[in-house]
Parts: sequence; structure tokens; C-alpha cells
Amino acid sequence: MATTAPFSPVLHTPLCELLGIRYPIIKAGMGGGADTPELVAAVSSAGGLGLLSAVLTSPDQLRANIRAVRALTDRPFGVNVVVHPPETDKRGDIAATQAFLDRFRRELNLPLGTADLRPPLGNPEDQLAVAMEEQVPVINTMGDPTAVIAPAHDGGARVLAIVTTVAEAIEAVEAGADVVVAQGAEAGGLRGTFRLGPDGEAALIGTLALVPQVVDAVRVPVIAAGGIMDGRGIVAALALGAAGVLLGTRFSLARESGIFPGWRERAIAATEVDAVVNRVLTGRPARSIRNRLVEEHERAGIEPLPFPLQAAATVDVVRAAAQHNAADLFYLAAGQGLRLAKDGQGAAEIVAELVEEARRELTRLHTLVG
Amino acid sequence: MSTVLQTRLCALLGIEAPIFCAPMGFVTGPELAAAVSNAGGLGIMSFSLNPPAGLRSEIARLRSLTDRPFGVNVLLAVIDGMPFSAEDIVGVCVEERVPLLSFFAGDAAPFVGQAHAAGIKVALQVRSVAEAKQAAADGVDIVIVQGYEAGGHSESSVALTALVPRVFDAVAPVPVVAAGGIGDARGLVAALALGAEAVALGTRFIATPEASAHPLYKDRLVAATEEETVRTTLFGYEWPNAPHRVLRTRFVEQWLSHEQETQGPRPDAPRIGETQIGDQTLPLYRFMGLPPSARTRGDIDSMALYAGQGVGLVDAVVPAGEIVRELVEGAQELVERLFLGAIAVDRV
Repeated sequence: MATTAPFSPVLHTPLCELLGIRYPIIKAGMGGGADTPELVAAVSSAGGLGLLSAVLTSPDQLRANIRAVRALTDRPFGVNVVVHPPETDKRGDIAATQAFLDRFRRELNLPLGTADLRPPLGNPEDQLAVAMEEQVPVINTMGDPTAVIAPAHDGGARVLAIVTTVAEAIEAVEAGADVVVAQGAEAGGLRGTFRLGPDGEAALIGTLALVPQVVDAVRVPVIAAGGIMDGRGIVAALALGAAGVLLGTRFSLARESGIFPGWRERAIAATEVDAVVNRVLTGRPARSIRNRLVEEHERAGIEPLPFPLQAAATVDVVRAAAQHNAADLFYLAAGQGLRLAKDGQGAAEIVAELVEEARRELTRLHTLVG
Repeated sequence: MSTVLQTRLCALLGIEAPIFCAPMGFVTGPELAAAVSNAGGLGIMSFSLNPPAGLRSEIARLRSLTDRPFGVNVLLAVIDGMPFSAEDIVGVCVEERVPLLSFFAGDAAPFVGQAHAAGIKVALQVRSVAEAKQAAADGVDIVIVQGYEAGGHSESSVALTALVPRVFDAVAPVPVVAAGGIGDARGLVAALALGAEAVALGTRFIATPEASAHPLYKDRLVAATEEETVRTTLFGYEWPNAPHRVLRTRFVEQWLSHEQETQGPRPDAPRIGETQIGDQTLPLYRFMGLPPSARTRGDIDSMALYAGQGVGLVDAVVPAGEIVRELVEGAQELVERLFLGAIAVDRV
């Protein structure tokens, strides 16, 4: 009978009902220009859930981006908000950091850095308020979600809280999170760890180890994130007990992604050992492709400024680097799975391929136990 | 037991379940290796610094406990400076016709021909795609890939979800075994989905009555959470600058920022206990990497308590055979549930 089974496995989990989506495939919110309304909308239209990053986005710009997504799709989508609080208990040497960054400013013909640093654009309260006014159905938090949950729920949104440990998952669920996203060590970009260690270190638990331990600890759906790039990773995540998957790096190379050509070239050339955790961009740990910005900062041995002042210091450099196609001076966020990404696919094509691969993988596994 | 979770690798080795017990020095002795093999998996005994004669009698003891396939692991990096050579140790394994010869932290290539000529399969534990490719080119039969999650000595910076598919793509059709952070049936099925043909569990098998680890070490594993391990070079007395993942005990916490001072033997290192290898008593000094065995006495909490990030899945000391059975049955159920659950929805 098995050989003539008329049904092919369909990816469907309780998360799909909860979020009103067809496939439990979430595109991560990605800053740095990767996210475009086209990319977010294409993932949602294909049956997944696109998350729109609000990082370095003013309330007005965020509103415009949300409306642009909505004009392109009638499916659910979400907004990703970084809610990490400012590090007020830390001091940093602004002069040393600016002096370090000035070497790049000279190359990019930028005015040299000053001591007068203002927090970068967009605080989470204002961003959340805009998202609620625009009736965005899903809020994805990076950082302790406690302050965000009540206003998001009041606005009718579901909260997907990124966590990096079992303890954080329990904390997020007790605070009312509807879903937790277990962010494994492999993941690219900013780490979600609520409270960093004494030397600024984030929790780095591999996805394979983290997900089942989180699943055992909470009663809400768990989304796996970190290193998932294809159907193999999706089925692995489901086996670990996840109700869905969140992919960033794979979608960052989609045709609709806004990454500049030099970034794309680096992402295609790099391998898993090149995606390293560092603190040069914001002062908080994040994973990016090793380049001059990362290596020279490491070599200079300068303690980053407290979050988000470090981001205020680096923002002009990375923005100019993107404009000049200078991948060596940009922040090339990427996860350890990067070499499994394919270049030049449309986002809808990626979603369809992931679903098809996952179905094939489930069928193959099933033959092992038959 | 039923033979229903079969991969090609199971057929290659003549085992029933794609579950290896990782070779852990002073922990995976004949009892633990035999218990895993008897349950249908593959126990890989560590050579545990035994001299050739000692290893020969350990293999004999293992054989007296099981008639199933098993493996013996040779930790190449630590043999330099011992009164015998890697050739001596491998020679014993070849003479004894062990079914699988496994290597770690060194070059397996010089031994592949000799092993194959004796009908012995060869495995190499690797930590990167590049090492995996080299192993396949050297004629190794099985590539064991250790992820960032793994307990014990490991230099991999890449975690398994990202690493296993890459290694699979790089060495296929050579079978890949995933190691690191896997503690139960969910991890087993996940690893199979990523392209592995078996898993190697270390930490979970330490918490068994058959493991020769010290009882206090087992208790510490049962109590620990996933946050309580750390990758360090702290226990660098005999094997300097070799990263390893251990429990973040109070002792480790206290010394973590002094790693540079703990590499290599130090005449001023305090003696913290003693252990037995065969009939020899060995004094233990602070920052030595030998994990405490049942035959170790002294300040156990100041010794290297190796553990992977799956340690939060270790909830009790359970017989090794039960763990193998739990994994096999759990994996079958899980795959059925994933597959049939998906189909059921499709019919709606």
C-alpha cells in the first residue's frame, strides 16, 4: 500500500492555525537592507510568514514599509522589533571607537566621527505603536519581550519571542509570549540573549541541543532558528519538536532581498567557518561574515561602546559601505548555514522548494522505519 | 529487538540501530561499550591511555561481554610522549581484529590500509568540512562529525544543523555520523534528517550504571542545564591548547580567566587526587584532563567533567541498553507521527 499512497506529506503544524499561514516557514526580520517590502510580502504570499525588520527605521518609515507590504499581499506578516534595553551600566571609550572607525570613514569620504553620539533611529515603543496602529498581526521580539506583550496583545497581535536558553523561554512564556523562537548558536545576525554575561557574552547553544530542551520546558509552540537552510533542516527541526522554522540567511539571497552586490558575492563565497560572533556593529553579540570591519576591530582590541551607542557610532560607516558596494566595511550578517544557500531564487520559489524538499525528506525517513 | 531503524551504515557494520556510544576516555570501558552493542547499537571503547598489553586485555574483556560488533578508539594526539606508539596501539587492535577502529585528533591515513587488510572498518572523528573531505580521500569508511555542541575535546566552531548537511554533501556516499548535543530520539531523527546515517552520544551514556565515570560526575550531569557547559582550554595539563567542553562548575568558573596559565605540566600544580589505570596508580594534578572514573579519589568537583550542550536532556542514570531501546522506539514513533500526521492533514 505504501508504494501507491496517493498522499504526499504536507507541512502543517498547529503554528499554521495560530498564525493563519499555510506552511510553518518564517522569514526572519533582517536589518541592514536585506528586508524589502517585496521580500516580506513574497514569503507571506507563498504561504509562509514574512517578518519585516524595524531596525534603524523611523516610525514614519516603518509605517510606509508596513503599508508597502500590505499593498503587495493580503496574507499575514509580522514586524521584528529589537527590544534589547540600552546598556546603562557600561561605559565605553567613545574617542577610541571613533578613532578606530575614522580609518574607514577616510576610505569612504565620510566626515570623521564626533563625541556627540545619539541613539540610532527608532525606539521599540514607537515602532510597536506604529505596528499596532497599522494592525500588524504578528510581533517578533529580539530581547526580553515583557514590556511589549501587553500592548501587542491589546492591539490584537501574536507575539513571537526570540530566546536563546531554556530559562529565557520560560520567562518569555510567563510574560505571555504566544510562541517562542529558539535561536540556536548557528543563527546569523543579532543574538537574542536577554542579559549578557560579564564580558558581553551571549548564550550559544546549538539548535539541535536547544530546541528539544525548550520544547520540554514550555507549552507554547516553538519555532527553531539557526542553521536551517533546506528541507533537511526543516524536517530536523520538526523532529526536535519545533512547530515551525525561521530562516534568515537563505532568504537574504532571494532575488527580492535588498542586499548590495558585494554582500551577495561574499555570502556566496564564504563557508560556515567564516560566520563568526562579534560585537562590532551594535555592542551586542551578532554573527556575521568575517571581513575587514570585524577583523580590524578584533585586532584593535577596543571594547565596544554600550548598546546601542556602538550602533550609533558605526551606522554612518556601514551605510556608506553599502552605498559604495564596499563589502569589507559592511556588516555582513549571516548564519553558519550560509554555504547551503542558493543565489538568485525568488522568495516564492524558495518557499516552494523548502516545502517540496521537506516532503521528500519525510518520505525518505519514513522508509527507514518501514 | 526489531530491526526497523536501518541505515546503510547499520548494514555496513552489522548493527541493528544507528546509535554509537562515543569513545570517552576512562568512561567508555568494556562494560558500557558492550551494553550499547548488546542493545543493537555500537559501543566504541576508548583506549583510555592503556599500554598495548592493557588494551589487549580490555578488548578481551569487552569480547567476553558481547558477541556483537564494537569499536575501539585511538586518541592520536595524546600518544606522543607516552612509552608506546600509535602503531603499537593500532597493532593490538588489528591483531585482535576489532570490528571498527576509530581515530580522533590526528591523521588516520597511515592506518587505513593495514586495517582494511585485516577486514577492519575505519572511522575518523572530524570537526570540519575540510577534514571530512580529507578523511574520505584517505579511504576512511565512516566520518564522525562533531559539532560545536559536543562535550569533551572538540574544536568545531560550527553547530550540527549547519555542519551535517555540508559534510554529507562533501563526502557522500561515505556515511556520516553526527555527534554533539544529541540526547534522545528527537536528536536522532533530526540527525538522520540532516543526512547522518547514525548518531554518536557521549554525555547521555555517561549517566548509565555501565559507564566507568565517578558517581558524583554522573550526578552532576543529571543536575546540569544546557547553559552550564563551557568551551575552554582550562584542563590543558597533558594536552595543552586543546579546546574541550566541560560543565561550568564553581572550580571552572573560578579559573576560566586563567586559561593561559594552565597549559602543559606545571611543577607547582597541586595534587588533587589519584586514579588507577590497569594496576597502576596515577597521581592527579590540578588542570589534568582525565575525567574522574569510579577508580578516582580526590577532589572530583575540581576535575574535568566533560559534557555537551544536550546535558539538560539527561534526567536520570539509566542502563545503556534502555537508552538505546528508548531512542529506537522513540525514533520510530516520531517518524510515523511526522509522516502520518502530515498526510492526515493533507486529506482534510
